Parts: sequence; C-alpha cells; structure tokens
Amino acid sequence: MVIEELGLSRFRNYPELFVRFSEKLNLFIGKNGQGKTNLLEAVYLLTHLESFRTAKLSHLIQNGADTAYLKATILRGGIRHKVKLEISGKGRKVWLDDMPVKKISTYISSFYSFIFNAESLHLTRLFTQHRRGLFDRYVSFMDPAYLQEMKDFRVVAAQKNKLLKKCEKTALEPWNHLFAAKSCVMMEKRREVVEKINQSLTFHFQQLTGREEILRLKYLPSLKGPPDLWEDWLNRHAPREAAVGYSLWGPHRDDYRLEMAPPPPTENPSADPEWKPEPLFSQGEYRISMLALQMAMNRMVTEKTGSNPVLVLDDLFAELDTAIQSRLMTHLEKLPNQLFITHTETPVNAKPSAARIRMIQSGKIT
Amino acid sequence: MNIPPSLERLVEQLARLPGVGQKTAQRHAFFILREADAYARALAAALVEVKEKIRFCRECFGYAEEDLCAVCRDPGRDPGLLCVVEQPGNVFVIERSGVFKGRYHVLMGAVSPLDGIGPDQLKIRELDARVSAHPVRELIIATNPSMEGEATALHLSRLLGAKVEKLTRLARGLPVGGSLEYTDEVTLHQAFSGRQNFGG
Repeated sequence: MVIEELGLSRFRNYPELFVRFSEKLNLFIGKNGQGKTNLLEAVYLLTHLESFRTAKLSHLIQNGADTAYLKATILRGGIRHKVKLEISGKGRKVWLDDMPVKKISTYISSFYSFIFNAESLHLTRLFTQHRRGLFDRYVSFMDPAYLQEMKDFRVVAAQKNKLLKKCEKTALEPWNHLFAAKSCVMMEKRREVVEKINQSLTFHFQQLTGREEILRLKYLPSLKGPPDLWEDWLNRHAPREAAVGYSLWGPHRDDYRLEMAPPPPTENPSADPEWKPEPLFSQGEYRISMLALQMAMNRMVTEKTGSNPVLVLDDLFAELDTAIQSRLMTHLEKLPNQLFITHTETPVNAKPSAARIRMIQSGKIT
Repeated sequence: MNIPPSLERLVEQLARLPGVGQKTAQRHAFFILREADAYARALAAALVEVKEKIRFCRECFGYAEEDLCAVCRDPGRDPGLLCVVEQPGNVFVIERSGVFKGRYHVLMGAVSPLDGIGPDQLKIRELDARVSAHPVRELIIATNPSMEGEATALHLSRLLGAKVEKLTRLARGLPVGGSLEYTDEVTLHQAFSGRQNFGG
C-alpha cells in the first residue's frame, strides 16, 4: 500500500500542511524539534488510529486549537481510498471514502504499517511486557483470531487471579482447565510465528549488515512440557500461586530473546554454534537485529495480505556506523515498500534515485 | 425551558432500561404522553402485575405465575432430558425454537469470581438434588459461550458427569442462513473445531 498524499491541519507543530509522497523511499532531513517525528506520527496514525508516542490523542492537537484534521489518499490493491481523521477533545472520528468508519478493528486490520523508533526499541529491550506486546501484535497480524484468544485468556486469568487472592482452591479447577486450554492455543500460534520469522531472520540480518553471523529468535514459554499435563500441573501448584495471590505460569509470563552466533564452520556445518544472547548485543547490533526482525515480519505480512506494509523508520541511522548506513540505504531502496525515514543529516552515500529527500524546518517541508 | 418534574422522572426511569439511552427514553416518554390515558394505565398496571405475579418455579427456577412453571407442569415433557441455562429468559428463547422437549434448570447466573459468584451462589445444589432424585438420560449444558459460561459448564461436568447417562454441551459455529463470506474468523475457527461427520 502507498500513502500518496497527506494533508494536516492544526496537527502538532503543523498549522497547515499538504505533502505528496514518493511511492518508495521518503527521506526527511531536519534538526531536532523541527517536526520530523510529528510527520511520521501522522503517517502511523492513519493506519493504526493511535499514536506511537502518546496514549492521549488530544496531545496531537496543536496548542490553542480544539480540533486537528488529517486527510490522506491511500492506494491499496489498485484502489485509491480517501481517509479523513478528526481529532478533538472528545476523541477521534474516521471516514473512509467519505463514509464514517463504524468498526475500528476492521479499518486497522486493512492497512498495515510498521514503526521503528528509538523509544519502542528501548522499551522492547528493557521490559518483557513490551516484548510480549510487540509479538502479540505480530501474531495478530498473521492470525486475526489471536485477538479473541487473547481477550478470552485475559478474562480467564483475571477470574483465576481473583480466586487465588481469596485462596479458594476448590473453585479453581474449571478455571485452570480453561487456562491450560487457552494457553495452549495462544502458545501454539506464538510458536508458529516465531518459527516463520526464523526462516528468514538470518537472511535479512546478513542483507542489512553484510556480516556472516546467524541470528535467531528464541521463544521462551513459561509453561513447559506437553500441554496435556499443564492442567494437572497447575492444579498441583495452586498452593504456590495462592501464596502470592496471582498466576505464576502461563502465556502472560512468556518471553522472547534474540540470539546471534558465528557462522557454522564449513567442515562441520551441523556443529552447535555458540549463541550470544541479546543482553550481550551492542546497541548497534541490537538495532540492526530488530530491523532484521521487522524485515522478516514485513515479508510475512506481504505474503499473507498481498500488499506491502508502509515502513516508518524514525531516526533510523542513529547508532550505526557509516559503512552500515550506506549498505542499509542501498538495501532499503530495493524494497517494494513505501518507506518513511527521518534523520538529522543527509546520510553518507545517500543519493537515492527514487527517493524524495525533503528538508523539514519549523513545521515546513521544502 | 425546564422539563416538568413528572416528565423528567419518567425519562429518568425509562433511561435505566437496558439498551435505552436519554434520547430514546425521551421519545418513549413523549409517546406515552401522546397516547390516550388508557395506554398509560394499562402499561402501569402491567408493570405492577408482572412484579406481583411472577415468581421463580420451585422446580427449575424459571419464571412462573404459580408454584410450578408451565414446562414443569406439562406431563408431556420428558423428565429424562434436562437443559441447564444461565438466566430465566434463556428458557423462552429455547422454547420459541420448539426444538427441545425436555425440562429446564435455571442456574441464575454463571460462576464469576470477579463478581463474587461461585458455585454456591448459583442453583447448583438444587440441580444436583434434581439429578440425584430422578434419573437423567441427558444433561444438556446450554450456558453462554463466554469464559464464565465455559467455567460453569466445566464445573457441572465434574460435579454431575458421573450421575447422568450422558452430558452434552450446545455446539457453536456458523449461523443458519448466514453466508460463509460474512462470517468472522473467530466463529469460523469454532465452526471448524466443532465440525461433524457428514453423509452416509
């Protein structure tokens, strides 16, 4: 999909803006605080209907104004759609082709974009719940039924926790049965997506970096062993859960970890490599590994939907050396996706032919 | 202009009804005002009468005007088939379909620890007594397909599974008359996992 045009009105630091984008690479250069990220935020907002920076949409309205508007033309599957968004203190309203959008979830699941920015990288590296959140989004991209499974699981977990707090162990058994059944479905779907990611993760990593190491994503489930034993196991361990007052094992405690290893020696390709876990990655290694992960997801979503997600890459080149920067630029230029990239200066070796390099200063694009 | 107090009171009461907001409540109130006096009297009398006359059936806890409800009084209904539902209203939904010829048992809710409802708050002890007193060939659990309904069904199957010949749970899946094209993924998943043998 391609966002062809974007109009902003009283949005963040843009009083009025109309901009036509390239269908491939869009590079925005500007000093800090000029409105680069605000522009990416608008692009992201068009597809997710939420911001990647704030939970309160009213923060997006320019100071002193009471309503912000976004208008865009989005090309998807050969059809040109008109999208309009109104953000006021009361919330947001969305129109697709001049019709008010009633079911937000349908809208969101029909437009895809990925965000890559320092804040989400940071949070994902530090906190397991952010890692789970990231992969939960990925799994729901691949399997919309996963959203309902998550909802059901949350209900079951909340009901179970209530019983654990009240120490009512006898009433717990039906809930543990549901808990084990829902866990099994969720974990199966998570495992499938991790497996699929691993099929192309190393390829993307090597493409982006020119390095030879192999990269893998490890799924670390909290419930181990065969699923048919979990219910019984949970029932037997109920006293430990009751002692703390909440459930200690389940998909809500799962984790994911990236691992890197040197390429296997040619004389013994099946030798078990020595894996370096993600906490030992350098900042640059982590950044590029996460980008490889997004590239793997991007390919999976494209294969599934037949449409290329929009890639929003904020301050992409930070923490990367110039050799990787220029390699990255060459690689990104070859992608069929529409890309939005920001940076504080024109990257070295960036003479992208199809790209539109735009300068941003005080909310004006030149 | 201020709304007259009596009208405001009526709107307030109507707005408490499920599915009715302020605007609909006003529409209803204006309708009642426009209609002849007889309608308002009949409506008021019906409201009072229903509260006075309706009670819970001694046997199944469905709505009844006498000690026993119409289903429990009907000698033609098969006492060997027992259908368990959450709410008294559920009985009428199944009755309207005319598909079921057995008897009912209303639990008066579903287990939900978050709302402080455990098995003891439901009419489960009474169900146990019924099943123990009269042989049941099939116990059909028709609680809602929510997580709370599922947990209730599981609890019942553990408690009563050995006391009845057969224990079943209502199927979930595609709506009749619906088109596959417009079915959401979740329903479709359930329809797939609940698929049945077909044909000779």
